Amino acid sequence: MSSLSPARAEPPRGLPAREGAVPSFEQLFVDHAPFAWRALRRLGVHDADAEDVCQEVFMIVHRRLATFEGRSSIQTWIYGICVRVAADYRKRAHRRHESPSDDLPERSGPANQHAELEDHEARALLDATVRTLDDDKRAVFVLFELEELPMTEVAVAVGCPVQTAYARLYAARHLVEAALRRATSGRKVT
Amino acid sequence: MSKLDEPPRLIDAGSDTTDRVRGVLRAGKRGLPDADSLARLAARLPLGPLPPPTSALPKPPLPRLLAPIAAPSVLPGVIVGALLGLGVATGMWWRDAASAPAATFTVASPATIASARIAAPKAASSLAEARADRLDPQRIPAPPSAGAARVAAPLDTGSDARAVDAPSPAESAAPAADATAVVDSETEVHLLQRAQAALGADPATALALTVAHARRFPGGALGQESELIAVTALVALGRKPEAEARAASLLERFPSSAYRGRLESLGLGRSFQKNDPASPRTE
Repeated sequence: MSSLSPARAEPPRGLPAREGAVPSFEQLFVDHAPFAWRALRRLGVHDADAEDVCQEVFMIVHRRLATFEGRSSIQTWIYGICVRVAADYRKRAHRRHESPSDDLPERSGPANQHAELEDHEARALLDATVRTLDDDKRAVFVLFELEELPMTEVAVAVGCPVQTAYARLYAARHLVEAALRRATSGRKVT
Repeated sequence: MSKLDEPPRLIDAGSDTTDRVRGVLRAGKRGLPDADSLARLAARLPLGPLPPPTSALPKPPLPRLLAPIAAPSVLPGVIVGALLGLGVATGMWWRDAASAPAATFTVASPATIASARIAAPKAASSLAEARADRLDPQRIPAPPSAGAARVAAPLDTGSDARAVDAPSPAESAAPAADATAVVDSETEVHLLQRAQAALGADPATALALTVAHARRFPGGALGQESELIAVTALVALGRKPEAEARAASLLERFPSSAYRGRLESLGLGRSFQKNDPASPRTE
């Protein structure tokens, strides 16, 4: 476990493929909606649209749950839907709210602001950085680094071979880490 | 490649990055939705009573979301009202309207209601207002009140969000001068709820309402549900050839429809062979 990551105190979130009955739609919602929502945000869904897009994801889950065949875990299946719905969203919606940009947001406010504000600021920085990635790299980065899926599950979710997923991950890491290092130099550690 | 071969994540202490970068990544992981947002989302989905989280899953940092579930000693009426508004109303209708394999809604018992307190008081309040509005028969045909809770309808990929009223079980009990009349303010969900309610006693009205639905909501998110009701009504009216044709058409347009089994169970005299072109990327 990483002492810097409370969430990592838990078992890996990648679950084995289905064994036994598929959970009910309600169970899936309770277990996965918060993470789907978070993943959608990091995948580039604007905060104002997150509810709509998450609804879209779970309507697809609802419609297709009966045909879920257990070739992956339910969790991976849902993340895969998130990746594709978010990609569709960006194609049709980025013009409404924001345009992808290589520029990182300016940090604002003093370093000793309230922790919540700092969190918000850090997430804005992360989102802006991840936004500079192309769709493929972004999906792999978000699912592996933030949602902490095993790479085998990441590959299934994004629909590519594992080695391809690794290549995308390393390329994404190189870009994101360099950008974050530059943007956080002199920043207070949270 | 097994998980053991994976590189450490950047957020891990052992990774080759700085604490500042890790701090940013940790902030990203903390970006979970609040209870209000999840309650609003739940109200927009065909959910039955919500169960507690699966204990086998790792426990996410969700104190705000799940704190009410962890403290069952208090069950204020407002929370029950929220549940009825958020989950049971939509869930019960969908259970009846779409008892497809995907749907596993059950009648809410007090115990399940008590365990499903994901709703936020704020959402409960607005939904309770909306429900109170609809209980007044004088308001049924009137335009929606300013206080009515409005939520977005289910979306198909590529569609824009539309606002509709959350359905209420009380609505179907309200008398109506013309059962097939559709007022401008009527939502897609409510219209199909009426059609579903009419199926048993008056399939002709149910069929007429699905026609009205197609006219009023040509790109509606509940097109499959409307067709299912129409096919069921046609069967009840003894118009099996039409029912069969529409069922086949529905399954041709939606090969992966969750209603395939339901359609096959209507006794149409033919089996709708599944030819599912579902993308392997999404099962």
